[in-house]
Amino acid sequence: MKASKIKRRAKLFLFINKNLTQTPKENSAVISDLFPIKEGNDWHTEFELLNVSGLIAGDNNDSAPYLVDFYFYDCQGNLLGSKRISIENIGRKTIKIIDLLIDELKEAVTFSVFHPPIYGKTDMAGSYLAERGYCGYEYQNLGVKGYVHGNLDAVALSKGKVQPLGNSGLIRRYYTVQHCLRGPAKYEFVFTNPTSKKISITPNITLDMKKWRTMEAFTMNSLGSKTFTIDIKKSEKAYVRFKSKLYLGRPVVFRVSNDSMDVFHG
Amino acid sequence: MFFPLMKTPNLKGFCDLVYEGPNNWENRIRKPVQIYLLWSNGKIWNSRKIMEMRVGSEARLTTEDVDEECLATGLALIYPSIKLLAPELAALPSKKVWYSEIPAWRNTSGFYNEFTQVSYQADIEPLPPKASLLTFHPFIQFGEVINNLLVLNVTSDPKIQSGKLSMYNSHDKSHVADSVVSTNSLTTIPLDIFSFKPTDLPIFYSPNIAGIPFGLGIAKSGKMLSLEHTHPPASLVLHGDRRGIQGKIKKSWIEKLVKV
Repeated sequence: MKASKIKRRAKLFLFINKNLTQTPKENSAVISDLFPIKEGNDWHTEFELLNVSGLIAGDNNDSAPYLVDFYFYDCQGNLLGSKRISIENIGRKTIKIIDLLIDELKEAVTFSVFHPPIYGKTDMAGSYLAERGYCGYEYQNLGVKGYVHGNLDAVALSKGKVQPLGNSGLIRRYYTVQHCLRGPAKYEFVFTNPTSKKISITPNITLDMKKWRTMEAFTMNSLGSKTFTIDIKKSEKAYVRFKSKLYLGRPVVFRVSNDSMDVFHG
Repeated sequence: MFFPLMKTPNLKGFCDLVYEGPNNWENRIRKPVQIYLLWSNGKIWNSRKIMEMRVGSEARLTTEDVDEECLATGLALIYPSIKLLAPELAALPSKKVWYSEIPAWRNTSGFYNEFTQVSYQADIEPLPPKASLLTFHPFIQFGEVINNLLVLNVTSDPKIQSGKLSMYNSHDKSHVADSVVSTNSLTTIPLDIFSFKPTDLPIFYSPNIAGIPFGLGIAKSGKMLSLEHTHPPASLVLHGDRRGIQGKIKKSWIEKLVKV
């Protein structure tokens, strides 16, 4: 075996010695991302809900009720509650998240979307139904949403219990956001913790890719969420990286500039 | 690994290049690289050296920086190379220079206008010359917005071939329209003329040309742009035999759609 191949395998073992995500414990489990919510004066969040079971089975025209459970979490990762949504027999239902955030759900900052299990109805060949779909974010009533798909395959629901699926390693490693931060702009990096452990993240920032400035670290509980914000001045360029034990410390990035915004996964 | 510089009507395209891997353990390349622009004329891949980049450097390339002929197909590729390339290539280079897996080494591509920009974490590897595309498109927007479907295709072979892209309504399986997509191109298809409703989930199907489909929304005011790729059917499931499931999903839908 070539030395380079041995070196790569050794590094892989050191840094990623398990799968990126765990397999759910139960065959009947369904998987979802943890989708960030942005609400307030300037923001609205919507979710594009589809009949995923039908799409897998090859027919989404189903007169039987199709019920989907939205689970909501606060920034500490506590499950606040859930809402059951029915998709009428249509192709797509756009869910305004603010309409669901009442009573105990007011403090929600993330949500996951669990479809009815398809296991038993269709041969899934060891796979699990997954909601990795699309959140639309609208800024300042601009009338057009920025869409971003699920970023991490974060949680499974089986037998009514939520199981975090993300893995983390022993060694802290960097995740460099592959995006040049250009000013004037405010950048918000939204993290969720898909693991069952508390995770610490240390942001680093540089203006020249040579001198990295270490910023104050923050921690997230299991299924918790944190937003790291940076203002970039006019004509300034910068890069950020995040040090953590997360296998994939990838945030959702919001760039707000010139009364508009851009959203993507970092 | 290639990075797309894309052109679509009424917007300018950009690609921000950063010579810094996304993690600190996988690909620790430090050598200077030559940044090439590659574009197909249907017979060969043309290559033009744009610059040299050293580790830690960054650069932005826009559609305003390159000649129109390079973007005749709506697409030019940016390729970091260790070696100098010939000006004409029979196939795309196979050496992966900026490359990692967890996560994939990407750069930011997107579009901009006088008001705003929209970004996409982009990388593309050549697609098989014979492959199909089936995808569901859940983000057509309504109101003061222009909706386009973009289909990005790259093959190693420089030939530009066109094929049919059919649109259906997933719910009643009705055929909506046919359009054309091309290899080694960014194809822009306006969607608003098809009058999809907010409760519709369109399906796009091409029997012989694969690609990465995007929904592009442009506010009529110009003040907001929206760009996101649709998923292949395999993304509806995780773990297990995803490829096998994707094959089954495609077969099941295609059988119904083709009957229509």
